[in-house]
Amino acid sequence: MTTTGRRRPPSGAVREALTGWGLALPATILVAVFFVLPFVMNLGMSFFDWPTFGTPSFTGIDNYQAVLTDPDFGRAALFTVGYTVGCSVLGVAVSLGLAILVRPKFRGRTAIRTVLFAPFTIGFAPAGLLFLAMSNTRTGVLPAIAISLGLAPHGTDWFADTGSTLVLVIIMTVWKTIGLTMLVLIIGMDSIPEEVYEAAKLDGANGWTTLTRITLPLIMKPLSLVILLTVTTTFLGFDQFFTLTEGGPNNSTVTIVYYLYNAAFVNLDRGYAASVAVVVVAIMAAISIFQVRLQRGKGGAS
Amino acid sequence: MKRNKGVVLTAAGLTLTGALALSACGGGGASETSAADIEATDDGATLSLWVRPGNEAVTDQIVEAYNDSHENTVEITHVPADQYVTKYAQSAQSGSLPDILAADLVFMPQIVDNGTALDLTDLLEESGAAGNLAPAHVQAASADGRIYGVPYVTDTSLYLYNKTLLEQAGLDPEAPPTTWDGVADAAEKITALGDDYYGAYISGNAPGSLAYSFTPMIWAQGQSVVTEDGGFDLDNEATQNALQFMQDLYENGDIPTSSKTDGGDGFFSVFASGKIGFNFSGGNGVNTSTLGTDPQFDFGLAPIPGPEDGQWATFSGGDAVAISTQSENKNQAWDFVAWLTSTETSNDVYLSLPALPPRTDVEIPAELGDQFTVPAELVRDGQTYVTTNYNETIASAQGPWVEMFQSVVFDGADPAEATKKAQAAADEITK
Repeated sequence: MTTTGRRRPPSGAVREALTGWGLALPATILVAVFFVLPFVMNLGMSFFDWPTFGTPSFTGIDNYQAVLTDPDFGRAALFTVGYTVGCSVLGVAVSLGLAILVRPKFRGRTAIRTVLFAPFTIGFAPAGLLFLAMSNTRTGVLPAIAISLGLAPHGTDWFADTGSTLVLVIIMTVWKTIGLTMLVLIIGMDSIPEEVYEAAKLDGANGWTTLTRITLPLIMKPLSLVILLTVTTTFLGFDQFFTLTEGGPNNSTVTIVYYLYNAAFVNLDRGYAASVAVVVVAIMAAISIFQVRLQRGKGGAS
Repeated sequence: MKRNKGVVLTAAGLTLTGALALSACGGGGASETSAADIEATDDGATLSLWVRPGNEAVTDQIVEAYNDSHENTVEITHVPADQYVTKYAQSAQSGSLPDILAADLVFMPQIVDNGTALDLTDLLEESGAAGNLAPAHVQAASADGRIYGVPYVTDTSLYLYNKTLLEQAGLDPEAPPTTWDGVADAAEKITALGDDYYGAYISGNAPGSLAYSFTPMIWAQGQSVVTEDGGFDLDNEATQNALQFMQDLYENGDIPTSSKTDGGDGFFSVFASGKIGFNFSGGNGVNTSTLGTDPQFDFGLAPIPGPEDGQWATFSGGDAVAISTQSENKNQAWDFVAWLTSTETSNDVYLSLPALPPRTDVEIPAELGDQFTVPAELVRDGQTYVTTNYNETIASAQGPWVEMFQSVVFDGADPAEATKKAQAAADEITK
């Protein structure tokens, strides 16, 4: 910025730097107060036995040892990974399919896009409660439909079985999140120049070849973003389970963040919960770094 | 995703801030006022009161009756039940508790243990309320023989039974069973009435409800669940027997499978459908409105029995109130509590709502019907959990209590193994 022909007076550079800091200050303060500071405090807290009632005492790495050796935490981590993989694979596949379907111009396109996007605008908690009401074994409309279509036996109760509970939560999550991921992919596809497709057509490429050789490679960046978004939101899943399953049946749907919630707000064991939070952040960071690396690698190759 | 991460961290950070405030003010901040200096004062002060939602029909009406007849004004705040303990803990540490704490009585031991409730023993002796209040509430709010809280909302667990179905099954609707075998036999006959009929029901996935409606089967055998030091005694024959009784009912097809996932929404509504014989639940003036719809059947109430004739027990629940040691209006707060526990209030306010009164020495008018006279009788022998570990052990959806019940009753686990496992988990919590 200082390589312009005319030399700027030093005060100009200073002013520019000050302006930059001034503009960034509100965001910096927010990040510092609501992100950095709590994280540092949380980190400190994780080395204490910190009961909700009573006095904290320093215990070193005891909390971390307890977290990493607790079989319930292992179960929660394993379940969370399974849920994340299920949601991500299904979510990405369906949103890609929908994006391809609703991208071309046709009558009513905007209406259909709006309908598909609408669920994204409600929160996970209301979405969970909605599905809970719709799936209630006695009063819900979904089991009633399934039973009358002969798809489920009379008196079926989806929340009694881990498999059907999980399927229900995954469907709800995908339904709820698909609007945004679909939109991101459509924007990515819209940015591919029309000429590329025309050239492919001239070369005699069929629909499948066009998709795998042209569309997919050219939307790799938005696609990676979608995967990153899906993985992180589902990995930190809590609201959907809190409202829909309460961790049941038989504690089989307790996610890592649910485990964290229990430690902090049910067992009121703040120090332990703080150490769980640190472990969760570490796992999250590892996943994000891995994904960004992968994305960069892919970007360089193409 | 950043946002979510931020929420988790911020939540953790906020708790830290609360905890730092604790160390800053040296824990508690109890003022020096002792009960001896307290005198009921009605001088137009505004008193804050926290209560959990759910019992508005009683809690709010009682406060309204007080406000209408006094200079003081009580302002009621409904704190969601699952946030109560957290909010209380943070406020206790920062010295911002309300003047009057009304809580689910199972959380009273925590409040008393934490030293934030005013000792009311002498005041209650003086006012004549001591010894005449619902015993479970007083027990939950007592420590070392001193009383820190009084009943506000009173209810009690029992079983509701469908008289119409009993009659259809050829049983005497005026002589409900008084033993487990009696319940099991009658339940089998009711289940046999038709496809959608079931002998019995219990909200099987609601930890708090199970404490309410299942524990009496253990207590009825003379076995206590909480030890004197606040620990748990789950690995015993009485608990195994009670679990076995429920497992047999379920495996015999007398409890619908939907009970397994009922987190409390079916507490009354399943019974209200008119197709359930016995509903292990509770009764605070159970009537047509609590049952949701106008039931097309007669129902009765009876104590939850044990295996032998004459054995029964009841969990007396509801809300208790305490005066916060942090209150600056203790005289006015005592005015409210003194009014609340007076014979006049029980007679004129509670019974005209109608609701079960805090006092046990008032007579329940027979015209209020069985749904008041039966529970009022049971309350006199009501029991409760007195432990600071209730939340984690009993109330938690991931706690050992509900896991023990679920694994035996619905998943066919061996009762002896389940109680052993639950005991180990409970010991881990209380150690």
